Amino acid sequence: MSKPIFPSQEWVKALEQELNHSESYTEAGKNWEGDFYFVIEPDKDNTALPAPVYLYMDLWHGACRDAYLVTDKDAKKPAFIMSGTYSKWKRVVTKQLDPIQGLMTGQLKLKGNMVMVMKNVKAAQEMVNACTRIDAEFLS
Amino acid sequence: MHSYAGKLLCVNLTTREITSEELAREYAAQFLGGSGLAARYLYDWLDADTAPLGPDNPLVFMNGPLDGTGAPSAGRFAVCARSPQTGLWGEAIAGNFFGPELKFAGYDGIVIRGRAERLSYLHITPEGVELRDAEHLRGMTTFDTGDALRAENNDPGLVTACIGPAGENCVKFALILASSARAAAKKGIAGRCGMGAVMGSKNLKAVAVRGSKSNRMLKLELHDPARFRQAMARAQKFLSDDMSTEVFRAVGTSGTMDYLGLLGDVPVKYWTRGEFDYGKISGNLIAETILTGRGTCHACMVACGRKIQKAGEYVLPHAEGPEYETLAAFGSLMLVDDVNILSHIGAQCDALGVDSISAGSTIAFAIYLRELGLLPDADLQGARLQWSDPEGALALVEAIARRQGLGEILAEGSRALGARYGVEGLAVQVNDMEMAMHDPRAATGMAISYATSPIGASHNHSDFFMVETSGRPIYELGIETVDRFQTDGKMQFLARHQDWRGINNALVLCFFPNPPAAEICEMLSAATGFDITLDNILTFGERIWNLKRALNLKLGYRARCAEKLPELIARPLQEGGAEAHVPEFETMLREYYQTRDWDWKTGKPSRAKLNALGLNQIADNLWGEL
Repeated sequence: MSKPIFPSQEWVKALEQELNHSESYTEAGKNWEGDFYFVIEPDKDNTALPAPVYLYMDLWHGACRDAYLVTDKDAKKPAFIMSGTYSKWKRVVTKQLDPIQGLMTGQLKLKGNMVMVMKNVKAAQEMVNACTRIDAEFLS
Repeated sequence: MHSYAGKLLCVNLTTREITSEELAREYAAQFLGGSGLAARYLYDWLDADTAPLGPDNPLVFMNGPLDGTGAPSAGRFAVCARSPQTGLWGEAIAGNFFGPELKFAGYDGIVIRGRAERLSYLHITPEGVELRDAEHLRGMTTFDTGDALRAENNDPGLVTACIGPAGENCVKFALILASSARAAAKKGIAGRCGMGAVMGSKNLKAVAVRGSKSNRMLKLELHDPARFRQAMARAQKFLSDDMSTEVFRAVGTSGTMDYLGLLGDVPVKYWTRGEFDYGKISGNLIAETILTGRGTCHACMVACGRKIQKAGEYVLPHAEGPEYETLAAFGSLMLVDDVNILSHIGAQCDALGVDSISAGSTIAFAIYLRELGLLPDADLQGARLQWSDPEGALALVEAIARRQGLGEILAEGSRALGARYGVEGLAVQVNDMEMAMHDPRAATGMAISYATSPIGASHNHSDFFMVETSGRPIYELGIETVDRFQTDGKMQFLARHQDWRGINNALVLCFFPNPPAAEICEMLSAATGFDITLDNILTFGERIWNLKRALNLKLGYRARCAEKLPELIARPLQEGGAEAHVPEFETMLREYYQTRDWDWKTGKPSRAKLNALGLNQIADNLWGEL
């Protein structure tokens, strides 16, 4: 079986499974309410990702209710949009860049309720831990 | 002098003589302003015999060359003197609107000497300067003093820097609070080093200044106004798009509590535990529950100030909510998790005029000593010393400010408290300065930042934990991302970060917004005409850092005795985000000395280093004339 490529439909479905099987995410994310677009943008100097990729995740009280790759970005109006370049996201999902650090340093951008994000840092950490459990392939 | 008022106001409280003198251009060109420039003046005026609470210790208020220019977040001011808390160089940096207002009134700074016969205040406008009686303000809180002065002068434009009862009583960690009548103004807290006690020792209750609403207000002349405006516009554009601006605006300084707590950075139970329910004392909870608005300082684009009209049953003066440091010092450090009463305690610290870091730390230390059975019943004098007891802590804040009961003992700080019971080493402090609420076990560079800071264990001379825990490098200045537990190779980045923060405290720039350093250099150069670029800016910082070290040596600083890690920080925590980690202190400190070109035995900067920084006279003073 081939490895899921980051970012792709297969990868985000794998993450959905990881989250829903993770007791630590269930606990850490128990107060989380709100769906996400994770927007992976092309790097200026790397053509491996030619266009932005939108990953939709419906996160609710420690569970991932749905997750898929979105082809029409207007299809959903999620509560949160977190965006960054492919190289930054690659560092996040391989646990080299903490997503809160990414926000604080402007490497990632967030639209949505900042308070909700800043008080659920443990959930963000467990999401990253789940990402690292996916044996993924990267574009570059 | 472009971008400077060009004058220092000189006040002798003993003789009531009020004069002004020209700002020393050669000093400004080397040390810029704020605490850098103040340190250069005070190097000439202080010596080892200067009593911190005596009339000969000059108290210096200093603004910076960007104050009043509109440069983003450059509206702060420095208060400097020999510190009664540490006996060393003392400086405290604060915001609100005092710095620019003083400049608009025509002054880059105020030098206050002597001691007034009666409690007095200084009234400064472009129309004149007067020393006025303040006996009717005796015992009044900082906030009430400012409001009373605005009311009795029928002048809502007055910006005030006041002491509370703690300053009047020369509490070692008394603060000075700047306030104004603007509803959205954030308080300005000159909290560290006991500058409020120096002011109290001079019988000076307040400095009240108005410049901006006068027909004779100073019109600042910039060297190259068009170039300045372009650089400022770029900096403003950067900040308006910057996520950290948005984070601090949304959740304030204490919004980082949950994240820093997860990393083990926030101390718990007097530095002996590593986990706490940080969400209960966090700015995020405040934002969702009691926050009613946001406060700013002059030319601020962040608005990190937390406006809280009412926290539970408590009405807060000027609706001023707490900062991160206060919530940690009276919260996790004492196992208190009620954000309403913590907000009230923070407001009481500000109102009574005590630094909440030192006050909270000293009370928490007393509780710890009580738990160890070292603090006897006889010393309690009715005080309650127990964990998770905010009312007991609140009563002690009042007792400290008034030097009553156990408060008389605690007003001397935690090292003195430890020494009283033969356990000085257990006090978490460096050079008598209680450690800020960032644990070096979670970000090891902070161990050296605290140990080598010119004022003791303060995070205001390098918040290097932001580089270590929040990945906030400044690549354009050669300050790179480092692992928070790393030992080797970190000190070059710490030294540069200290130098950069020395610039911040000279300019006088807030730490929270971080526009590109290149734009700061460009604004500074365009404003002043000084040859300042990204390539040489850190030399200014390094010069200031070494000057403050030389000044401390002149005051009797003994590096090998002073630069130590507190005993409790050398013990690993058993849980939390910093579990099992202890900084390798001496290894890092030796690397730091090599980086700085300082002499390990004496703590002196080398003659070559001082000469290279243009500090030849100071090199001769330190090493003897050649």
